[in-house]
Amino acid sequence: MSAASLLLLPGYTFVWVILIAPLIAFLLSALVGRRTVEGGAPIAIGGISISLLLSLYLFIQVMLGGGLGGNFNPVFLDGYVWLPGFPAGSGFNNIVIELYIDDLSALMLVLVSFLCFLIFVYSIGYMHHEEGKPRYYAEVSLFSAGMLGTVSASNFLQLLVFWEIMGLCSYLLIGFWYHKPEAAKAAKKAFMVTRVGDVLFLVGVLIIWNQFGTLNFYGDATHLGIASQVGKLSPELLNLIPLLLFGGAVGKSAQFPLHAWLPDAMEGPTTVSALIHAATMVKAGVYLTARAFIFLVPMPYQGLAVTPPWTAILVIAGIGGFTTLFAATMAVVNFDIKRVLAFSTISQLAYMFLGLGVGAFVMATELSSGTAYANLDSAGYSAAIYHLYNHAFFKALLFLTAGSVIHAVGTNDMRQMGGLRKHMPITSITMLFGCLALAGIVPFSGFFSKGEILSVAFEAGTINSVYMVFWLLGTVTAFLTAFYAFRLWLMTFHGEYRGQGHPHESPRSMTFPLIILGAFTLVSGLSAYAMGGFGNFIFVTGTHAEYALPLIGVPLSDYGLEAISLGAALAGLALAWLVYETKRIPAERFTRSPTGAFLHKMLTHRYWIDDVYDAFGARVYVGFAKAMDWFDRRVVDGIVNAVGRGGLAAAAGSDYFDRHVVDGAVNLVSKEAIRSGMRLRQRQTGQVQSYAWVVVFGIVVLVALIFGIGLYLRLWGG
Amino acid sequence: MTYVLTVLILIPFVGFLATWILGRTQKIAKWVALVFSLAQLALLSLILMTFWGVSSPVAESVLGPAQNALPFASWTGGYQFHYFERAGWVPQVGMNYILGFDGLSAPLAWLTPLLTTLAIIFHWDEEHRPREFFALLLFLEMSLTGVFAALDFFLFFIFWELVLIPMFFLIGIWGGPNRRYAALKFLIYTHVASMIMLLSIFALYYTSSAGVNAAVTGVATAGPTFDMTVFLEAARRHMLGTLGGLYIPLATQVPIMLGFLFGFIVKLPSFPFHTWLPDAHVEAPTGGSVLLAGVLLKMGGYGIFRVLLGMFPDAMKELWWVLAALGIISMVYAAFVCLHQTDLKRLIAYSSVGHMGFVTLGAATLTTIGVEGGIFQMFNHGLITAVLFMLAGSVKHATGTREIPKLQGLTKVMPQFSLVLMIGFFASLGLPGLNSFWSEFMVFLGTFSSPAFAGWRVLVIIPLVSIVVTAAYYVYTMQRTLFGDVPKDLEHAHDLMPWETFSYAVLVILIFAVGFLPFAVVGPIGQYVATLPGLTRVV
Repeated sequence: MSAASLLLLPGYTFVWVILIAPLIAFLLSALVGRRTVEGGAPIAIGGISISLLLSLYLFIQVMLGGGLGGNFNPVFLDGYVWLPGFPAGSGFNNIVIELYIDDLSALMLVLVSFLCFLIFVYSIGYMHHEEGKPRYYAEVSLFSAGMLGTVSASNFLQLLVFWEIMGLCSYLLIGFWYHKPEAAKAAKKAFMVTRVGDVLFLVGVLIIWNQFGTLNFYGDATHLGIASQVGKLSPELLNLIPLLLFGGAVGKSAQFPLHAWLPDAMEGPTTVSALIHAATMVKAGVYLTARAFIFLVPMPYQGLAVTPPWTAILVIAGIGGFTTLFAATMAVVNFDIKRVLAFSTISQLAYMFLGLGVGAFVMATELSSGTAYANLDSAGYSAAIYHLYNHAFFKALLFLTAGSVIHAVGTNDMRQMGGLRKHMPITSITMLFGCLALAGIVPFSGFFSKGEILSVAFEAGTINSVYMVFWLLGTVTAFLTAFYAFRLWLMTFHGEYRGQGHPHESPRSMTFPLIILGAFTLVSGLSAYAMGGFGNFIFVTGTHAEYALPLIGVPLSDYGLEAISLGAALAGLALAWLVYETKRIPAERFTRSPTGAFLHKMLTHRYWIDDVYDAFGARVYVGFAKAMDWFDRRVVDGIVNAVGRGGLAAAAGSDYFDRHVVDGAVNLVSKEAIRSGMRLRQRQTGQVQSYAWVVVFGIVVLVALIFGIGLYLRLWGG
Repeated sequence: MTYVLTVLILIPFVGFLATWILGRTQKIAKWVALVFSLAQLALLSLILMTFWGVSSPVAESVLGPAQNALPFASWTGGYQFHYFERAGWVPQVGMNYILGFDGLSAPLAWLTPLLTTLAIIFHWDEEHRPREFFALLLFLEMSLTGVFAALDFFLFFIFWELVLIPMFFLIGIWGGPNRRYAALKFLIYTHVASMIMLLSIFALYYTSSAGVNAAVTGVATAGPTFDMTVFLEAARRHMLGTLGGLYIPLATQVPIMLGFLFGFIVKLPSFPFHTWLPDAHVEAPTGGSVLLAGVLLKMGGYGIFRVLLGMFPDAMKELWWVLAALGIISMVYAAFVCLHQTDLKRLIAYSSVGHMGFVTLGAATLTTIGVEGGIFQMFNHGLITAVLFMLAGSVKHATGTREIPKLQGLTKVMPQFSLVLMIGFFASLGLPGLNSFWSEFMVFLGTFSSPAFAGWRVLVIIPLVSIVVTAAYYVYTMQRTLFGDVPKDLEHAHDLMPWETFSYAVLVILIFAVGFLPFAVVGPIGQYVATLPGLTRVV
């Protein structure tokens, strides 16, 4: 026992407060937000500050208990049973809410609460003039609770629940300016497209429950876990389950083919774009796929190695590799500063999936060649999480600086900006840092993580040449990334100011987070480098294979590969400089040829995919609904009404028969009956409520009669 | 021996009479009705709490000790009822006065006074024949409570039919322009279904009840009976193999079960027997719609779980696929039809058809979790759909229209309304964390794990389509009604009335509470499901 371990508290119950604090902030902002200054901002910031402090405390605990070379044994924090009915011995766990703290979730908690904190502070200035601030702060607080819950869930269902809370907040915040039709449409689109992914995720959860009787990623003495029994799955299911989970990730993280919602989501306030659609929520898909590593790299089962799900691994790496380039190409032609960043987000997220995919491939290959589970090289996994971490900082920075610019010039269109360097020095410099990090120029953070991902992809390529294609896609994207990043920066801050009005630097509450984040673009890369790779910085080199994957960070050693990706980035930067600064190569040159013009048109129309989706929604979906509605009114109800008419016709026929045939005979003897009928007729007043009385009276008589008979039989009968 | 269940039938009945007799003015009528309904709600809440093991001196003194009674003293185990009453009625023909509450009936019965009370409050400004209106609501409350409590087929049938009368008049007098057609359609359609159910009851009585009664009671001369508990217990022992004689042979079970099924799925309603529902809802007054969708539909579901699953386990094993097909078709079909509706209330009515599909599907899984999910879905749907129908009433009240294309930008002029609408819609589309997510999830789990579905597991994908389409029509409706600029003729729309706000607040709190603490309802339901015969405990 080291002295440092004395700091460990006996329990981790305080972790619940990390979730509950923003939840309380949500309620308070919604109820009393308008009575506070800035419409609830202090409440939201207060709530997230508590989460941030506790997350940092937890992170330190985890580091002392195992980070930096030791072993941190993951902790379960039991909540309560959601759905009971699965007694001990049934082979199934109850469905519970409980938290699971391991190094990954501890890291994510800090990351999320820190970014939420900064962006909430930034919101004070950015949202100052807006109406509906209490609504805004309530929703972002709820969102942060959702995200914190997502990354600390112990099981897939709980993850899904918090995941959907985030989806709800995303929907509400995209539609924050609800009077704008585009915002309403974008909100709907975001919810629907991610919903498609969510259904796949849900199917995955159902299969997992069905197969394992538990939804926990990992188990311990008292909890049933999935990881150790993955080997009992059939090969088909072993491929299918991670693919279904990945389906959810594709929706949430806006990967091809469910990417279309993210650019439109930029209709929301820029702070929301920075927080939800860049730094946190869209990362949940990456987090989920990282948790799905228990399927991608299955633990040995009953002492035998399990065949890894090659197809699933290939699909994940393939979607990642393809989407990197696919999204980056669309970023190149866009003039909307936020949309460029949105496409960039899609592209960078795809890098993370590429890293997870190739990382899983390398690990799975090692596993099938007999490497012990605890000694697997998890560089791809670590690199993807590292990129997630770096990207969260620099993309939040980019969005916030973009927000600062939009705040100053009042437009999103980069053609109306330019020359802002002089008016907004802090924004200009911090955004330059962000662009350098995004482009992957040494020593900014993107360089390290992107380089690691690409070197793992190359390593995978040497094993299986298909993966070399993904490496190539990633490297081409590195070139395009640098190009569009500097196209954006140069168009905004260099040249002459092309808009109207008088741009000014933003208030201190906005520049303060920018400076912090700007510093992080350097810190998050360099500090990890000093530690010999991100994996070693955060995770342990250890053998708790019982609980979690062994996570090993690799220091950057392959300088040749690093040089290639850096070279691609520098080439992109140079091209942007030539086109947009010195104008040596005019932008028109690219669109002059018919092919170039067509390409340009294709890219500005986003490959027509959105149009296809809209048409599908409007024609097929709604058309089918229309057909069903017609069927219901005409056919189903038509039959009912026809039966009704048939009944009436039969009644009319019977009536005729009755009057003329039966009654003809009876009439002779029914004079008295008719007379009494005449008397009864006077009671038929035609008013509905008197019918009601008659019916009620009749029933009372009936019941009384039955009771009477019963009583009679009881007293005098047998 | 307590008479608390009889009291539960009497309170609303006396309330009905009192409202009618005393309700000279609107004010008196509504207050009298409210007091009686609240008394009923309080009593049922105490009963529901006994299912959680919460016992207080108050409850003890009002209800007497929880009985956990077996229907017959001679039985050693099996069906237990927390509250149970039995009295001879016409014992010579096996007709008895039997009432009982267990984990199936109590949650549904609790919904009845809850929604009646809220309907009364929601109609606080009802000026059209208030005396009759409030009286009929209480009469409806009485008959619905009776349906859920009755454990004798004859008594059950009487209450079942009594329900039609107040609802017929609620639609026929306080309804919209096309009310005569809707009321008649409702009455005739569901009445025909009841008649077929009655045939099944008689068939059961004449063919099998004497033998079953003899086997269960051990008295050879027990004679034919309408006693439902006898059938329930016999079926249970039959599945366990401890019934002293033969249970109803399959060839008899199947036709009888189909007759019951028809009666129940018309009420539920399920495709293709659902078309009375949208018409009835569109014309019905808000309070009528709330009770119609919130509780009345559940009679069908209650019947499926009590009678079909409880008494015909062999037939269910053969014909589960009929229910599964009906459920799945209803879910997907109704979702698509919803997408094309322009009348908000009609949309909500069709969404009920879809959500009731989960109930049928849950029953068809023949698994514990699926059945629990189906029952839970009824409870959740009762809460959510009440909110939704109230919303349709509020928007009509405030803007004069329910046509979705005419509504726009309501967030601006009716913020409270819009908030409730969002909560209601998201709850209804099964947002995780809200109540109906749990029941739908349980039904899917059951479907996926059901041995009956073994070869058909892929079919689970079809109802999952309905999740996406359901989200689509709700989100699409929100986009059109809540967002955007306010058109001129809506600028002066007023927001919720105080009494409306109160009704919504109660329901929204319950939706969240059940969403966070689903075990509170699943627990009692599970107690019932555990005694059901012939279910697979897959999960």
